[in-house]
Amino acid sequence: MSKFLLLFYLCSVLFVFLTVYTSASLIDFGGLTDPSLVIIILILINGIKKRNILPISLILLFYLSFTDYFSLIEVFSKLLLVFLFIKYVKNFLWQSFRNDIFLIIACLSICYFISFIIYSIGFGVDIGSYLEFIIYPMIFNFFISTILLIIIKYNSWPKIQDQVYRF
Amino acid sequence: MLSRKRLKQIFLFFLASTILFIFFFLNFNFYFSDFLVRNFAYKSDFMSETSVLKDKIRSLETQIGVHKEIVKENEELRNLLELKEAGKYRLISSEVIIKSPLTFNSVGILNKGLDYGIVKDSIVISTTNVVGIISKVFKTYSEFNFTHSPKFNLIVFIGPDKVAGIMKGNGISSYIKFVPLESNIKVGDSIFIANNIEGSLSFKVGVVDKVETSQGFLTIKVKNNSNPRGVKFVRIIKNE
Repeated sequence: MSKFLLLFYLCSVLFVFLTVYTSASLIDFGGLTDPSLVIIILILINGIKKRNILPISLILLFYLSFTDYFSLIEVFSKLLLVFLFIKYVKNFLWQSFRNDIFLIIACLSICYFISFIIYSIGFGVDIGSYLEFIIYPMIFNFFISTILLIIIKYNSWPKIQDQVYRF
Repeated sequence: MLSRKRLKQIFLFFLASTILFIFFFLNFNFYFSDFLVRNFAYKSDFMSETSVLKDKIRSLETQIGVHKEIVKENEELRNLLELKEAGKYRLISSEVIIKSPLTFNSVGILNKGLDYGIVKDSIVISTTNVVGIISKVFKTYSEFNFTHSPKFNLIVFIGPDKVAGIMKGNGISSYIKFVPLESNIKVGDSIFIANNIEGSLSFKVGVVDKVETSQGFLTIKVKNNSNPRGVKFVRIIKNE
């Protein structure tokens, strides 16, 4: 494992744990970022493997422990997103920054759309209220995912070894 | 496929945007300009008296600001004192310590529990509006549901005519259903917690955002000014 990946995993753990506290609102921009969704999207775009399922489930379970069973709707929509991705998108090549951006937008839209369908059927939520509620989280999740994606996928830790010269 | 150069440009653009965002988000521009003005502004002998006066004005303005804050605080304390004098309520200050970062989360955890006499179904308020209702109480902490939670139920009075209704959440927003059609309710009318005791203070829940007719009744959408994602310091109303 490269140093960069190790650093990324460390930051992800902190990102997931610290955002639970309301005092750490600067990290999740005042509660507008959902680390579980950001991490799911990043894992999906970077190529999902079997070993990624466990951390995703643990993060979702961790967040579920602080809320009520209505949040199962959101968890279900995220898991459905993972399933849809594995089923339909995994086989395509996305080695392009522009395509990755489209994929992030698609992931966010699908996830929130599934939630909308459930909320509109179950609780009669109208589209106006729903958009009003999710617009800021969606924008923030998009930007955070994009920035992290650039850092992870399109940059890497310098691999140049120190060289000793003798004159 | 984007070229390496193009990728580098995009990365630099995002990096610059992030730095700029953080710069303005934390008000660094203010501190920076203030620092520059205080330390590097041009001061000549001719201008010295003016600058001294300007400094004096600035310090006086600061003092006025401080006094205004004190007056505001006094007003708030007086309001609280009125509540205490009414003798029907006790306000317990608390802090939302943990909140699940899920987008549709509707539960918060407070740092006060049975130790402070918190009981189930107590109303939680922020400085301006009702935030939620206590759902579970433990020894040192308690859980509460936000106003948009589907578990939230509260009897409220709407408008100057005090039309009664039950406020509920639907996971996204709050609404009041089954209000009689003949009720005189307009957009912008205030909504308060139902209180039958004459002369006692009532707490605001929100304002009427939209009035719709469905199934022979009025359905009222509630606009609550408190932001459930950003709420941190709250007070719990305890009925004595």
